[in-house]
Amino acid sequence: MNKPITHVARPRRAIPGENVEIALLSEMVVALLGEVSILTERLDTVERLLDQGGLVTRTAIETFDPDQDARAERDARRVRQIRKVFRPLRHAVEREA
Amino acid sequence: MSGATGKGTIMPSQVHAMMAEPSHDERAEQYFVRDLKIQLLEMGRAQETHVKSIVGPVTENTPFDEIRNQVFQDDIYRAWVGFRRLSQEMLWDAIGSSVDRQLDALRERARIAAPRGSLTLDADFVPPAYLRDVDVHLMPGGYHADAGEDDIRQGAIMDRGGAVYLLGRNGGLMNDGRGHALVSHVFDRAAQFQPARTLEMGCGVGASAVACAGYFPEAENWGIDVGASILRYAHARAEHLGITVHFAQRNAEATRFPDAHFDLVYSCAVLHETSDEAVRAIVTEAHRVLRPGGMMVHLEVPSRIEEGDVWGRLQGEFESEYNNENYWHGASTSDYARLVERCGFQDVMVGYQSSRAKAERGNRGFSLISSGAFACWFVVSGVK
Repeated sequence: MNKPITHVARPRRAIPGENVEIALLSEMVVALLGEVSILTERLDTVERLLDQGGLVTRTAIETFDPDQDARAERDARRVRQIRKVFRPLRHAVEREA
Repeated sequence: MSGATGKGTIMPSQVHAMMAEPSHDERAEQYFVRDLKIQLLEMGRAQETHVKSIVGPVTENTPFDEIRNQVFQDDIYRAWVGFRRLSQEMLWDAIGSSVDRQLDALRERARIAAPRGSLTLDADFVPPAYLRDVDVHLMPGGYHADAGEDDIRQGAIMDRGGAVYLLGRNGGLMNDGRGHALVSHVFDRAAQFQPARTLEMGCGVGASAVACAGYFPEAENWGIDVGASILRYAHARAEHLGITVHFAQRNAEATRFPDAHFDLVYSCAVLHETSDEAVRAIVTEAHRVLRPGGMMVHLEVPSRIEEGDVWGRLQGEFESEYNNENYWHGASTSDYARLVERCGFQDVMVGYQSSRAKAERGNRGFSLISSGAFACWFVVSGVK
């Protein structure tokens, strides 16, 4: 009784009152934010490799292991980007709270 | 821009050989999902205040549906619920594509030439409806999707995804915090406990079973679950970690083990994914397979929902409706002491067990007061 491999979780229950078109658009915006976050991290890796004066190869990027300070800076930048994009929701909640 | 490396260059993870190792960009994506989840959770405090202002005074007689309808008319709450569900969907999407890139290498590593433990699958196994029809945690395919033969995809996704989902708070990438908390409770109850046989019901990728077996290497340690892919992965994972565990595809409600066979029967955060009837059946089955004097321990999520707790109830509703955790509300409100006593258990303990990096004999981490999620686990235990 195998269940086939799938990329879609079931059930996906409706959120009462949700406008599906707006929801889909919002989800695509967040997906784009995710891509920006990945791109930013990759750029940071390239910059750090350049700072070290080494060759910036794909292997060097893949095997790059940031130290604790670099990790903290990357974490802070990622959180800042998320907070920037989610500011409208966060402020809407805080305004009403 | 490509984070993917060629198949020939896939390096094993330093955590253990079965853990899917992300490429540079996949790791960045996983960090993004983790931090998105944290940011959304941090909005919860203001959201709670906001919701209370929408709902107004609630009495014991206010029907929950009425409260729910009021709250879901609010654009801000609704949007927050949608984004939280999205973050979970993005999690599995990110982990799934990373696992798929290295699936051949993982499958190769899952071939164990001379295993210490064992794996017993049942081609005719039928999972209970609450797991067959619901993909728990929104993980596509749930616990039992399986491509057959040597497939381990679902297990690889569950293991890596679990660590990101729980924000690393269940023992980091080992996902074994619950296993250590479980044994802490066992030692709290019986400092010299030495089982001959143990059984984990709903073992998943075997993270807790491996942790438990590490404390009792002389025992015959078993883990059962519903999915072949997850169990194949669990078997390979345990073998690579050098721990002997026997995995079998069985139903916790009817395990088919002999009567009075085990000294310890346990589960880790499984009950809230089942049903009211199933919890009774699981406790009854635990009693049947335990020897007289044997111990049953169930760990659960530590969020208890009290009467009149509107926010707790709404968050419970989120978990069951939009994170597909079937029985969250029931499991968070059940009178466990009464239930397990009715099933024949004695010396019943119901409370919270502190999380420990390592269990120690004689530790006293049990409390009647919760210290919060991941700092402790709700626990119900008894002796046959």
